[in-house]
Amino acid sequence: MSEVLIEAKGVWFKYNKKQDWVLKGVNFTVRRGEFVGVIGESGAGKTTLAKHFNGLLKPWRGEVRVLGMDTRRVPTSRLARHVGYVFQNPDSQIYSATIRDELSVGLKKLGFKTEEIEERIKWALEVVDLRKPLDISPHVLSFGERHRLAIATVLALNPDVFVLDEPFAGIDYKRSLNLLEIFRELTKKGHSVVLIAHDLQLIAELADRVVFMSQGRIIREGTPEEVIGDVAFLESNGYIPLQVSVIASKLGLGKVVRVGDMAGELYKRMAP
Amino acid sequence: MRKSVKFAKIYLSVVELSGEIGLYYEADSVIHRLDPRVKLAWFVLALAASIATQFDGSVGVFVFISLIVGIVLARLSLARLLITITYSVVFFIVTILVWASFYQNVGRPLFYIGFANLVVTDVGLLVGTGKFFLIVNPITAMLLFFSTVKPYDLVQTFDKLRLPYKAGFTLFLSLRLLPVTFKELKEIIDVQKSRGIEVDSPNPVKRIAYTIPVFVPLIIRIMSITWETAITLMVRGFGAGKRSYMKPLNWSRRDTIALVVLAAFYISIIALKLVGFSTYTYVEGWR
Ligand SMILES: Nc1ncnc2c1ncn2[C@@H]1O[C@H](COP(=O)(O)OP(=O)(O)OP(=O)(O)O)[C@@H](O)[C@H]1O
Ligand SMILES: [Mg+2]
Repeated sequence: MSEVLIEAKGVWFKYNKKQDWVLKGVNFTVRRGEFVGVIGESGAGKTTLAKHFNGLLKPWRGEVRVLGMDTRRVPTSRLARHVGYVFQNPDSQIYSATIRDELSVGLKKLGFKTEEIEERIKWALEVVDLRKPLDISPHVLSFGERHRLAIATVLALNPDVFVLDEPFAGIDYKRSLNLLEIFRELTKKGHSVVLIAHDLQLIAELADRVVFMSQGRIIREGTPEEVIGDVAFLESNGYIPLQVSVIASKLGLGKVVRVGDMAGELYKRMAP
Repeated sequence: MRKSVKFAKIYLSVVELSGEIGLYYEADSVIHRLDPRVKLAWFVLALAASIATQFDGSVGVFVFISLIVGIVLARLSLARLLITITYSVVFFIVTILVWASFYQNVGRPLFYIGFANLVVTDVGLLVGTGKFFLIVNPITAMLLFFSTVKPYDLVQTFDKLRLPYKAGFTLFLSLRLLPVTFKELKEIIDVQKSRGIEVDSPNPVKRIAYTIPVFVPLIIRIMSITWETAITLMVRGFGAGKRSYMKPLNWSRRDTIALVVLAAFYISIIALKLVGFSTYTYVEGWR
């Protein structure tokens, strides 16, 4: 098995003393090269868990380690070179006068040389498909473009793990897919991705492992087939299963999440 | 280094606690049930009493105590009380030192503070504490008022007192903006930390350097929130015609009693002070 990058052990968390537990003993591991999908009803605690991965939140009980470092001991700004977190609202981050400055802030701090910075900026902007002059103000971009810029700043930092919490607000479907394909590619180069999303189709296509959260607990974990392909389980937890899974289960083909897999399964059964 | 780590922690916890000060604090208490006009009168009376006692902390302290009683009766959160008290203590020491230094040669010397090379006299102490309460009492009174009056009722209170509606509404809006601002601030700090900008650095100099990444987005966010609010108001026909309220204020006997008690208390403090009364002379005579 490959190296463990993030390990959460028995994490209990609430936002304040009066509140009920928001996370109730969550165990979660991210290994190098993994693409993990996280799903679960609204309010299940997905965002709360994700914010533990770079120390924005700290467990009340249990512990979270990032490459062995205890998040309680190391400031988030130090963990940032290992864990890149993409937030929903790009306007919470953008402050520089030009796109170039906005992208190079973190890189300068990490001590990269000018040419290297230029190269990374170029690469990150290509990845998010943002073709604008580098000297214009980021504030003239559209919302979707600013969001892509925000994603590019995280990409440019080249962290080990990308945490994407419903990252595609305001980005059109085609670009979202392209971006996710690129994150998928990055996992082959040893990066890991944690993707929180409500779109079962996306997660089924991309994730190696799916984690299902409900009311502060992880109630199911496994391959996309084991979790998203389980029609009865999804229905009993308030999700509408994918059509292909429903059809496959009606046909008695087992747990299936991809049309191609269903076709293959059918072919196998019908072939003499 | 260790000291600055502590400082950073205090700074962050203030930001966190401030988020809790959405000012209005929902609770079911005698104070909450009072008519907002009584509470407004309370604020004005406490302010007047603090001005009257500004040279004599030995009387001003009673105004302070009355407000603390109010806060306790209103069942405000412990955090809120703690913030008030913590700030008060820091501020207390500073005020006393400053005012006592002006009055070193007046009155009877009480003690000597070595590190400040300062003789504290009884008059210096009275004036110092008086000036301290002059600032802290109105702030506490304001905290009490805004914590127990729903922003919504505030607009009506203004209306009932025939103050301009727009003034009331502006105050209402800015109060509503406060918690939003703190929430945004917290999120922005989180975002910048997450991309490696050391806004959480224990080094205060560094943190000052990183105020730009925090305040530029904050101002932009607030501007867009205000803009959106303005548009919403326009769409909903703000300022068009007669207004009605969902829950009209009504004055009950309880309110009359409260108002009489409060007025009696603060007006007697003011009157006593005008006559030249000071509890200190009593303590002196008794000794
Ligand atoms: N800052 C906060 N203070 C208090 N409670 C909070 C805070 N943020 C979230 N919560 C509560 O914690 C619980 C989990 O919230 P969280 O945002 O983690 O859910 P989520 O699974 O990400 O939901 P969604 O799919 O809607 O984003 C919710 O009940 C929410 O009300
Ligand atoms: Mg969420």
